[in-house]
Amino acid sequence: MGVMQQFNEPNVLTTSSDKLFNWARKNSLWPLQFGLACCAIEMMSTGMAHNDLDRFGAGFFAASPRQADVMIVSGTVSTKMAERMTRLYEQMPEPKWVIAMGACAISGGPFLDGYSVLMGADRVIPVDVYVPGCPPRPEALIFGIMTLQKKIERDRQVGYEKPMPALVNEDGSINEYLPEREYQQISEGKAPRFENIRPLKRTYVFERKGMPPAAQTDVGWIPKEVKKKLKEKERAEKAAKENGGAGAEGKAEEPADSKGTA
Amino acid sequence: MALTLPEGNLGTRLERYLEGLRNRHGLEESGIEGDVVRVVVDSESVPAVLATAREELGVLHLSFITVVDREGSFELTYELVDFRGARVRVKTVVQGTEPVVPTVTNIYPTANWHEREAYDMFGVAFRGHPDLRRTYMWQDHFDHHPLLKSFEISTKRTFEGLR
Amino acid sequence: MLGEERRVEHHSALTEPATVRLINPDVRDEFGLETIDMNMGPQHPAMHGLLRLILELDGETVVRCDPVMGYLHRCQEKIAENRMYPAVIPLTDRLDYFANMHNEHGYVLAVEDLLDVEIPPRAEYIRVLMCELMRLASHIPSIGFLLLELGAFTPILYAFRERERIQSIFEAVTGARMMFHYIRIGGVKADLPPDIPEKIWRFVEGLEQNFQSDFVDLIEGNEIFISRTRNVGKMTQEQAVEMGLTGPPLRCTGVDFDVRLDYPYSVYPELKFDVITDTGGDVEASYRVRIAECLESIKIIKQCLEKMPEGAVMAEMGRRIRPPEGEGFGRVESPRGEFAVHVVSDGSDTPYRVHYRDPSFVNMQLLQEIVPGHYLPDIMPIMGLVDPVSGGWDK
Repeated sequence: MGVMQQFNEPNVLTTSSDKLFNWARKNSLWPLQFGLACCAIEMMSTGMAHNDLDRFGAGFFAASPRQADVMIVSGTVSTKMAERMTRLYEQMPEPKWVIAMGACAISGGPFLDGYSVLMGADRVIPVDVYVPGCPPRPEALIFGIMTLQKKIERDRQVGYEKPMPALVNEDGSINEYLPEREYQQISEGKAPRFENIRPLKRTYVFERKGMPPAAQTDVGWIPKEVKKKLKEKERAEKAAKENGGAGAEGKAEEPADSKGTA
Repeated sequence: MALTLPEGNLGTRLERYLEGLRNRHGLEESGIEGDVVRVVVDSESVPAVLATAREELGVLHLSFITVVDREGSFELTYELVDFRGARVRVKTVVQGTEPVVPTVTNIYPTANWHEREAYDMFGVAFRGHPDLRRTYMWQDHFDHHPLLKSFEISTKRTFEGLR
Repeated sequence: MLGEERRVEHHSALTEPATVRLINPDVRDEFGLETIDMNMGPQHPAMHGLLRLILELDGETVVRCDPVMGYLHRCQEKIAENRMYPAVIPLTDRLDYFANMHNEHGYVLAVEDLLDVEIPPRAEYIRVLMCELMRLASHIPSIGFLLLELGAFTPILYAFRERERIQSIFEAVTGARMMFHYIRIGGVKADLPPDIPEKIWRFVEGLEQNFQSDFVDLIEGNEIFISRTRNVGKMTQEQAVEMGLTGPPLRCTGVDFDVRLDYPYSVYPELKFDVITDTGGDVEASYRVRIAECLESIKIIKQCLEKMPEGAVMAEMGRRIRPPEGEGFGRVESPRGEFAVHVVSDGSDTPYRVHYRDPSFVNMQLLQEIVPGHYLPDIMPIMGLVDPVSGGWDK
């Protein structure tokens, strides 16, 4: 989980919801108890004390598909069982993943030419991670689960394809985040109660002098160009104040100054 | 109630089984090879032969029933095991493509599932079987019997011409 | 028998023989009660694999139990017809995947019956050693699964700890944790590494010392275990023999049939061990039989390690295995019962027909006969009595 902001108090941190949900989901993947054949023994062995799956959060093998996150297809899928496997997959609630464990689940394995063997579980259900082996060692299955965890980390939960309002204005102020429909109404001019909305002032955590901000994010993230412009404006204001008494000398020096310190 | 298992010298027991079967039934072939009494009978007299073996000779255990598809005929092998070292192997040959053999379930109840498997895999029907259903394949919408030589799977022709 | 002096005598109503406890017929007619048809589906946490049981329940009592198999049918017999003789061995590995060595051994004995080849004595001893280690690796998790289905989680952790140790021994000897492909036609694949007998000896001694405390003391006197397994699945000897049972389900009724002693193969005639029987006929008796068989296996392993001769591990045969026309039969005592293989050869490179007589397949008939009359939760201990493995019954 990527932490975006950590305050000085020990138990407060902020992060993005993407990262939070992904962290929660990947570290508590409850497998469905779906041991079909020989690979099931190695799966059980992975769940036992020597190679412990519980330290990955995946130790609770849920008996019911309604409570499971990941379906580890371990063993040969016969065509008779494929129907039931699809039904179990459909009974699992989202978000759900599938690990195809063993050669038989990947492609039919040693029984490829059998008349009642499904040549791979991915013929009927979508598979996320393939773990080869016949049967794969418990360490290989753990590697497969870790790969699935890395895949889950890259998921995006929030705002996948929605246009989002910019968080930071050109002058560096932060827009208050408004709910979508109200934002739309505002843009259409139909939300009178938000007429007097003002952007929030920048708030600093540490107002004391001499205490640097803990990170750039103390003030909220500002794009580089905007930051440059802000600095220029600051200097312009300062110079204007000084020039109010000093004269036009500062103006000539400004462009050189701002470029130098940019 | 304790079960009495046969006792005695293996050779004498084998002789006794062979004599017992020979005396009561017409056998096509019979002989002793090692610790096996080999008997070949006609398919209709299989229940009678097995009944003698169980009741009178004391051969209590039916180990397996194998069907071999000899393209045009089926060869069934019943392997009977008396628990003390002797074996009785009863073979029959049934001609044709839709064989019917009388069941031995009333003599050896364990044959129930062996015969069901033989029916599922080969189509050998057993007359008098209480519950002749398929074991492995789907019960409906599947009219084939997979272990027949005419049911080919993709690797069937791998070794063709490589003899 | 083990633990006899410590067995607790129970006189509760639960340990009465499981007679048919159906609802009173008058009550049933008066209220118009019906039986329920229920399905214990192929995916079930307590099934030893993919077994579907169609149950007809009268209240909580099972009236009819119908196992439906075929959810793992892998066409082994058909595929074996299209593979050369040595290439069938990895397929047999995957039949009863808790007892891989025994499956291989059975098939290889059948082919050697056809070929009539003599195996070097060192190879025979190594085969028996591996088979007995496999028996340990199968019986101990069987007990673990029986208890897992009764709700206890500790024994299976202990069981898999032992199994991991055995699997690391197998890995050192054969190269694989589970699917060994070690017993070959004519001998064994390769000799034991030089430090392995020492390791096996130390493992076996450690297991023997801790066996009583880990697997017996923890379980045997436990009240829940006794009340859930005593008099459950009770069979008479006639019933067991009629149903064609072999292995621990048969021996727990008192019939002392063991393929290793009655139809000896390999070097079993030279080893001293006993057949374990018990007179209970119920699940508790099968548990005791399995426990004692583990100790017998330890005895056999020690004898093998002491008596192992030097020499080659593979017979002098050509690379091409082409048996003459005929039939070969091989029969071994797998942890589940009698595993027999019937190989029909037509003189070519591939077998004409391979038939596996798997003990799980036959022992499952017990479910049809014995379960009716018991309560629904009694099905789990009865499955623990049979201890089937779905690769076995489904081939």
